[in-house]
Amino acid sequence: MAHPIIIATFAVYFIIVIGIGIWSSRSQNNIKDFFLAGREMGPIVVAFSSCATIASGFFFVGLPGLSYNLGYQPMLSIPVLNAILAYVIVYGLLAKPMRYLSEQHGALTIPDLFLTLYEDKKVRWVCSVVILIGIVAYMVSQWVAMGLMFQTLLGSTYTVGLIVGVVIVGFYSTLGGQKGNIYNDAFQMVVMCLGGILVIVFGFKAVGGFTQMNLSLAQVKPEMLLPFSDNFGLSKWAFISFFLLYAVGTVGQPQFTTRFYTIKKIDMLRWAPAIAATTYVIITLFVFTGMIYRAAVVQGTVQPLTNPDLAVTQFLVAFMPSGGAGLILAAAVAAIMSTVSTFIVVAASTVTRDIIEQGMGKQLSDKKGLLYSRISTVLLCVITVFIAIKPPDLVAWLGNAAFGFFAAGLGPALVAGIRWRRANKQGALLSIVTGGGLALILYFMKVTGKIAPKLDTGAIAFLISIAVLIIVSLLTPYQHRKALPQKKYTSDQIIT
Amino acid sequence: MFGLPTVTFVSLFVIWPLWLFLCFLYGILYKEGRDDEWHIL
Repeated sequence: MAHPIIIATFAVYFIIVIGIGIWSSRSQNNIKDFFLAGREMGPIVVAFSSCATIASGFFFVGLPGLSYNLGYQPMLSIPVLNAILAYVIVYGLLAKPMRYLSEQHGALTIPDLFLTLYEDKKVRWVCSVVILIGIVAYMVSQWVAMGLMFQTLLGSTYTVGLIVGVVIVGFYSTLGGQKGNIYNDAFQMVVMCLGGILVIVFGFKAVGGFTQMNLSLAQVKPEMLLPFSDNFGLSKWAFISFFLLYAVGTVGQPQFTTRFYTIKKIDMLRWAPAIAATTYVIITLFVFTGMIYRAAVVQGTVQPLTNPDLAVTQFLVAFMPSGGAGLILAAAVAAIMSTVSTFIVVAASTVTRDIIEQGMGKQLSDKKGLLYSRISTVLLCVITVFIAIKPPDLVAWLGNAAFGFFAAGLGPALVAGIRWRRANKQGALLSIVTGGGLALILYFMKVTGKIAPKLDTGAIAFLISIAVLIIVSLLTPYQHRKALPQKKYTSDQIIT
Repeated sequence: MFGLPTVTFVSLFVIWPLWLFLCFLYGILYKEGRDDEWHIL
């Protein structure tokens, strides 16, 4: 069982999180409120939320663990040099048009937008299926991370830890919908930023400062101070893969892009990427925990870790006062919660809006729509938690492959649908099927040892998906898509 | 500097702030109004 101060910090954190959920539930009257937070969100909460959603359990547990083993390489290759670019790329390419098209054409979900862009129900169906597969896998992997975290915190079994976490997130997501989710994300982002700052203050003090930490790491291996290396750790191919997936491939992440629908006015998007990227820089400081701990091992003040994923928890034990440790643990839990709660709302919206309402043609009143959304939320939590109690290998693999799966499956079709007039429904359909399918197949071949590509399998699928979209669109007839801003065409350009 | 090789020093103290600046540049270059217009290839 954790220190009473840590438990108290957590109790306060949970009361605030649940309170925001209850408060948000008051303004839930229909599915538009539930999925889009009534389109009344301001730029700061949307920016904070888009940052919190991207920073998952991997960011706060996996990356420090990798940094313990590989020094600067994971930090430079992922958040510092690549992932931060996602904010300017995704906002620059998609934010304004997505927000405009969503309001103009009544698109409430990503599959809705695909229907608006390509005017084809098959594209919408395939998109819905991709979102549900990816999100279920993603949710399970986040539940597992949360269960382990609560297990450490409460000194309970994994299952009890898992159920405590799920009840809290499920409660505020079911009650508060997207609004509760976004405000909670924003609050959790503040907690994560405080965690990032505290880590730097106490960590560098413990190892004698920034320079001393670097000198200690160099004693282990000089390559630990490089962004990538062919002799040790991450290769340049890994670096290129991270660029393709985390900088560019974020365009296909529905948990990120659905944020654009919720902002009150289009022009409020103006400073959102700057705010989001600034907070992302602050939370990136958290990754130093792994390097600081490794430097302390070299200096002989702490024992080496048996499992690198324990870098954060052992860092807290070794270097932090109890209150600060509670806050940093809360930050790590916040990272997982904010990601998984967004998935819950996106998945519930896909089930209610795209499958029940649009797919099955069932007309839902405001009250019924809201009820169905909440039932979908609860059902998704229950189903994914049952899988997470003893996750099969297949689901764990899917969770690991999910980022690449979304990038390759949805990214090219979404960007081309908005930014390339020549893209058509045939190209989009084949790109989604080929990209999503290849991301999974190549990943399974890799983990079963059948192939060993230098580039990440998700990145390969992403590139192939782009190529398929371009080639198929050019080889098939031009589709005049009404949702795009109009321009004058010559008669030979318009075939359909 | 700070015991870091040049490439890492440049990554942390030049490129990282530069990427952050790009996000601010989005805001600086943003044109308000004209919601129904965007660049399309």
